[in-house]
Amino acid sequence: MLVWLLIGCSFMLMLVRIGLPFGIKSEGSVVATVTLTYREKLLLHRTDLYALGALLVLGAIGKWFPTTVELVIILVALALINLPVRYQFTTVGIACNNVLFRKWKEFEYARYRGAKLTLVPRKGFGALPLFVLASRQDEVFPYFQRFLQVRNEAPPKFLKRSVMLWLRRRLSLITLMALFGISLLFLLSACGEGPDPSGLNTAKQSNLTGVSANGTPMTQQQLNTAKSNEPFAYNLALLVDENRLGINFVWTLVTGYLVMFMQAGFALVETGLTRAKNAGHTMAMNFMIYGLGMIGYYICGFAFQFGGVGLVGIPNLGGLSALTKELAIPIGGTNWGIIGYKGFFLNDGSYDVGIAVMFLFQMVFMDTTATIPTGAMAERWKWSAFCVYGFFVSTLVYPVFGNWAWGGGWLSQLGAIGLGKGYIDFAGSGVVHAVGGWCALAGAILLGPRLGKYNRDGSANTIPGHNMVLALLGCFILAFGWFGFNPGSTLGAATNGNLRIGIIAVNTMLAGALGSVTAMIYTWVSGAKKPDIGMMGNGLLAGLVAITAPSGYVSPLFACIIGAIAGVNVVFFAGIIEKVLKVDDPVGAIAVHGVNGAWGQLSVGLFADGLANYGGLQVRGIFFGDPGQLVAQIIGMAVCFVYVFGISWAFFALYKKLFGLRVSAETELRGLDIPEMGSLGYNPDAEFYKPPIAVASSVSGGGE
Amino acid sequence: MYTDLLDKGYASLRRGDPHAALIRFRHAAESEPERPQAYFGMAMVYLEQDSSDETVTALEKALSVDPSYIPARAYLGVEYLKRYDIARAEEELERALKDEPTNLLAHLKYAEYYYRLGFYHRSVETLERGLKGPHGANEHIVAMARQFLVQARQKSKNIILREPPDPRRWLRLFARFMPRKGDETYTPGKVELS
Repeated sequence: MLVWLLIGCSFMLMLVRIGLPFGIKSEGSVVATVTLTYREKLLLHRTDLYALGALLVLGAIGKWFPTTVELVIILVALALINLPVRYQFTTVGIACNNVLFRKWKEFEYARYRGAKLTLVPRKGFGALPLFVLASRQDEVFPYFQRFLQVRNEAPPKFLKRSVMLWLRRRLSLITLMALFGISLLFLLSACGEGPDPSGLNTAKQSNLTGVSANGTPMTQQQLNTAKSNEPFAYNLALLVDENRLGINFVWTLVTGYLVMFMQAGFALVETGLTRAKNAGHTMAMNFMIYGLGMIGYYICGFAFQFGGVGLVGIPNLGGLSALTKELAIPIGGTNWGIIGYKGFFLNDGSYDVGIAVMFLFQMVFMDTTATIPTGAMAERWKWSAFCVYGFFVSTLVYPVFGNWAWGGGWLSQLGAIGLGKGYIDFAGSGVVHAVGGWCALAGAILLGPRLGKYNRDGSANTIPGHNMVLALLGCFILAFGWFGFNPGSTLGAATNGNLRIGIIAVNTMLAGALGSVTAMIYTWVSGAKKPDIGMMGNGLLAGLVAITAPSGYVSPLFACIIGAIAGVNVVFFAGIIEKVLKVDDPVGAIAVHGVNGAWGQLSVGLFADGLANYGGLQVRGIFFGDPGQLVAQIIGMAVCFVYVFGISWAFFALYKKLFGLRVSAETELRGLDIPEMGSLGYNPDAEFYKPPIAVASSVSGGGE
Repeated sequence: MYTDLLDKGYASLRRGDPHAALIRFRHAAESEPERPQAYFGMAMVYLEQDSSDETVTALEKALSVDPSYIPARAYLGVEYLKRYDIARAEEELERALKDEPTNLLAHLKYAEYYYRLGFYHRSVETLERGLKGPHGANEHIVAMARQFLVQARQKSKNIILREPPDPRRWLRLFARFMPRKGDETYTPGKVELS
């Protein structure tokens, strides 16, 4: 109760600093108005913020409130900080919103000391500190000088002492370290919580009713009978369940490791298909998205995506029953999930062996999404903007759509209104690839083409990649990793129809092969009449992307058809994107991942044959008797584009307006390696393209 | 008089005496301020001295007195490029080529523009086109263009640059079904009046 009182008081104090219901009226006519910046408002509220922060830390240690309440408190505080605060200079005095008015005659002079600005009072009155940053004082002083003398007073002597100076210089570092320490304390405070951190209790009776080896699961009654009549058989069944979970855990983890290795493939493809002068930058983006994305996903991405997946249940990994928080709108007896909210920092009651396996596998999927735009936006993207993007995509873009499709969200519930089995995306043509592709499209449009890419007449100049060996090696690594991506998406290798992993792997390899072959033939018979190495690679990837969603539900023959169409798609749409839409995508990421991701989403609704059975989930496409499934897939495809493109556009546009997305023309022409990263990818060919000396400096006879 | 001063100015510049060259070009400009060559000569001196601002000012002055003076426009395009103003650079160079499509110096500077941007094949194409036409340029510029062409070819290494086929080519498949322009037998609904 006391804590709530303290929090309430803090909020009240924050409010009365900036607004009163019956405010004080200012006198005189207004001379000028100075609106406080965000940093200045932070200074204004700092004492209340310290108090709130301390209460939150103590609350976290003492487990006074759930995480959601803490989040709400933080959001309310942020909202209060964002309310506008204005100083009004009138002919009579100075006012702050409607909470304060002081007359000029109460003050002797205005004193500034470093960053502090104070109105020094006459005898009998109080001083008035003003929250104006040093950088803005030149802007504000002229208003004072009309009414008061402004004096610069040297700081007191003790501040000049070396220790104080040392402290002042390192104040921000000390504050950051303190915050880091407190966060660490908060995280450590919740250690030890969780349904099964030891892994000893994950195998249990309820699992046995949720899985089936031959399509007919055991009933609770049968198990209860066995438990009393045949204790040995019952215990043996639990042992079998633990083994089953062990097999599934190992399978999911190992396939997750394969997917993680795909990062290397992406890095090589993107670096090979861009210019040597940007090799270091492109490689570094692919490298760092792993770390940046993982942190974002660990903090809140996983919680948003899978915070409520336990309500649906993942029997292959022991149910994940701790993840039961999903913000949902109940309509017509169905809970339409919007976003999950459990699993923040893997700490709030989600310290569990099964959840950890799920986190690892899904984290590498998220990283795959996050790395796709780095290709489309390569060779001109500011490093700082890329870092912020890393957090944005891993905390908001991917997890939200992922929740709708995989986390028990509303798209997966479409079956409740008769649309097949709801939106189905086996391994993520939509959730992973289309999300990455549409995000890349928004980013590439807002970033604009590379310098010189388009001539004034609209025709495009080809900018060849610098190393096709790297690019194709990367494609091979990706194809290898895809054997983790698709078969691993069963999240298990035992029971519940998971023996289909072999078919999934075969589908994967066939679609990739057909994609590369059709892309090769298309480029061979058109244009330069030679097979295009880059497009062969992109064709392989297109086939793999397209088969990702349907791989678990189609036969090998349809996998071939899907892959073959994807190979044509990638060449055709790369042309559309470059020549018609005039979007510069150096590596063809939008055509590979966006377009073929959408094709993969659609193909489930066309070709799923209903013969796969994952614990009762049998999906049929329109050619096998279920048109509703196709409608669900079209809805999923459209929602994916609208949501991802929309939110990405908003983010990139806002960032562009506030900070700028793109490097300068000088940096771009010199290559991003040195200006952005401080080191080269390669030494040769990485310097600014200089023409021969004869042309650069010759003046002889130039005039006539 | 004017031509003599220009010749002497260029001779001084070749000798490595830019100050003397500048004085002569200035005298030439003062004697006939409506002719652009002297300002261009001054721009060449500033270019030699790496004074970018003065170079651009002199080139712009040359163009202000004679907007059709192609060498100044071509050099100005490359100067804009050095300032990373790609759009203006391309605009100036394109205009130079449009005004005088056979001017070798304009081709040379456009090739330099492409070279600096890393489009070596475009550089080769531009130089080949310039050298092929009836340019009538002096032998020094021709030699310079040939030397540049060799180096640009070395950089581009005769690679076939691949780009995705233009998807609009599929529309040509239906061209045979479209009415041909000027062919009256294909014009539907045409009524002959007697």
